[in-house]
Amino acid sequence: MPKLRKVLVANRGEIACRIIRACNEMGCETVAVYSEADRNQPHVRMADEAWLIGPAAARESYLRLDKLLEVAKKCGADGVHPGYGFLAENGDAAEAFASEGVTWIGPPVKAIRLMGDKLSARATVAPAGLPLVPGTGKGERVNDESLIASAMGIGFPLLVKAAAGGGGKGMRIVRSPAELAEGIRIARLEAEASFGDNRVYLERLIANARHIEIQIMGDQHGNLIHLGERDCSIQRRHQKLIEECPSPAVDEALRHRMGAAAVKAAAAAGYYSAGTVEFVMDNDTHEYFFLEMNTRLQVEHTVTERVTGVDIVKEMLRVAMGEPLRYKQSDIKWKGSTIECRILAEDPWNNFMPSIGVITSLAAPSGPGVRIDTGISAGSEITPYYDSLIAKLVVWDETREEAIIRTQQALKEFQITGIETTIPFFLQMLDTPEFRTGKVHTKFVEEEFLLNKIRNPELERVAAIAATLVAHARRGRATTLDRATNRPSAWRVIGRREIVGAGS
Amino acid sequence: MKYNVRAGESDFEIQVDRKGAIRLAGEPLDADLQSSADPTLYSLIIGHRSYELRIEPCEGGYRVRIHGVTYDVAVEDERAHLLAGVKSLSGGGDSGEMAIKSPMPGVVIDVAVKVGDLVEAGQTLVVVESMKMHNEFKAPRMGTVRSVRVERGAKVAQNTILLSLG
Repeated sequence: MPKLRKVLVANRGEIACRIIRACNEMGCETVAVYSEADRNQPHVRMADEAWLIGPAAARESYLRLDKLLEVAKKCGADGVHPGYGFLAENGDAAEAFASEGVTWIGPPVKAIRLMGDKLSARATVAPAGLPLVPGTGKGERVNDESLIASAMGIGFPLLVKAAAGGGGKGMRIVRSPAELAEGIRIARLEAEASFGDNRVYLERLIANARHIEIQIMGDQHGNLIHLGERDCSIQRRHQKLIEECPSPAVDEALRHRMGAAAVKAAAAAGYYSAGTVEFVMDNDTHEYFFLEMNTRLQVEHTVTERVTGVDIVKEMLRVAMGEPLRYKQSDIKWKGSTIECRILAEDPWNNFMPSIGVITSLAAPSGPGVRIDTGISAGSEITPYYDSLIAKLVVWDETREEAIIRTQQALKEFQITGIETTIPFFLQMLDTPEFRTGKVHTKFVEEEFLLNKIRNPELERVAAIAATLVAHARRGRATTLDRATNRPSAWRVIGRREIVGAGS
Repeated sequence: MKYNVRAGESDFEIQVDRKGAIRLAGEPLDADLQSSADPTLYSLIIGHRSYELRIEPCEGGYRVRIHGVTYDVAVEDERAHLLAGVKSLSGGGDSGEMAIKSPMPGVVIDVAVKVGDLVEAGQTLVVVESMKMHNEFKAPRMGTVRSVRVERGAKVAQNTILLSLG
């Protein structure tokens, strides 16, 4: 396969910037696309070319496959990187680009389709030996007696779920065998009433669950390796907020077992490029079960990059060009500990409500072990049209304890004004004994964590003095000339020091 | 000039005289605030303790960010303080008609009430979708729906009045 010369980056925000960087480093030209709302976003300025593809709404711009194909043809792109979201896991998009001779920088179409559907994904990985959450099959009509008979093999607590349900509706928790018959009876009644279908099935309830995922990487020559786990148990409404590697709940032996399982899942799907196999892990028993496979680059790939040293996006570009993987499994070593915080334009004090507006200033932290991936800059407007991720703070240190401390330092340095962000949430989350000791689960944020108004009388006093001096200066400016305008420095005196002692 | 200042949960009395000398609760204070070319960035040294701050004006005062935490600060000079006192004596408060505004642009997904409905504090009034999330706007207090200004499917800009409560 020929070298990629020009890559269409079919995305926006931080991930578009990430991909443009990798392309530049590999001597590959980049083409950005943008909606009318994104004309002034950094990804447009960073790319070699930029093409307007439509109005603000994603379905009229970033999701318009026809427009993206047209841009690819007109600009002469020979590759397309979909990033995450939008068209990244759309098999039809991958196929359409390929048929135009534009290389899809991602997995093969067949793997995207197999893994895109939950049922076909499970049917693909189960024969490869991947454990699925124990339960009876969905869809079959099973009588109460055989449900009760299979319950012992599933274990308690378990869920009685309506076959026609979904999204948490039509579920009953049964905690012991004694409650089972009654639980099934009520679940059937509810299912009949809600969905007009009384079929139910059983599934193990993992009440104390972690989200553990394995990054895999493969080439077009049949080589597949894993890059270890990421622990994404700090989530809210299924949206990940913090990701880390290593997981405080995974030791080396477990990492290799889960890694090997993930490689088998990927092999069963005929996979190449970067992908992620997601597992739910029982905190109490350390059993793990296959959830799904994401056939794309993920938001949190950064965490794995930091601890393994592998540049996943550059590796994706090489694999798309037909090159073999540059790493064998035995080359992959995990060094230190990395934590990613997703800085979102959401107000943690107001039930994480989206916060929209112009970024009036942005000062990102820096220093050893600190990486920021962002797609905004001062002056950027946060609009309601796209997801709320504005920056990823990825912090490494030698141990998890030190990585937590360094992350807190970086969060305190991170200054974003004009909108509200999740920074105060992370500062408090990283201080909880549960997070510090690694004893969290996927419902921790929603069920146990409370954001506190922490009173700090010293800083309240500082804020009061500063705001008063600003208010006082504004009053003064209205009537008198600003005495400081001819100073050479960019800094101006707002409130003056009362000089103590002699001299000035 | 004397200022009555509320920062977070604390109240302060701060004086700044013509020469810029500062007194906090009557005590002289050694404070030096400098602004920069970046309009929100400030440096404050109190005694020898140094702070980096981001300060932005907002409705009713200033938002001050220090060490990742935001403090809302209301600064009232003496004259405004006296006026406010007079106003509160002559009535006012929150018994009048109240407009419920959308704090962000988005699309109205649901209008859960109609004109004339009696609503409880905390009852959902309107649901607006923004950034792929559904946001419920709830009644801040008990009242009667006086008017409904939007319908399902309507696009709303920031600060659009959704409805009013009486």
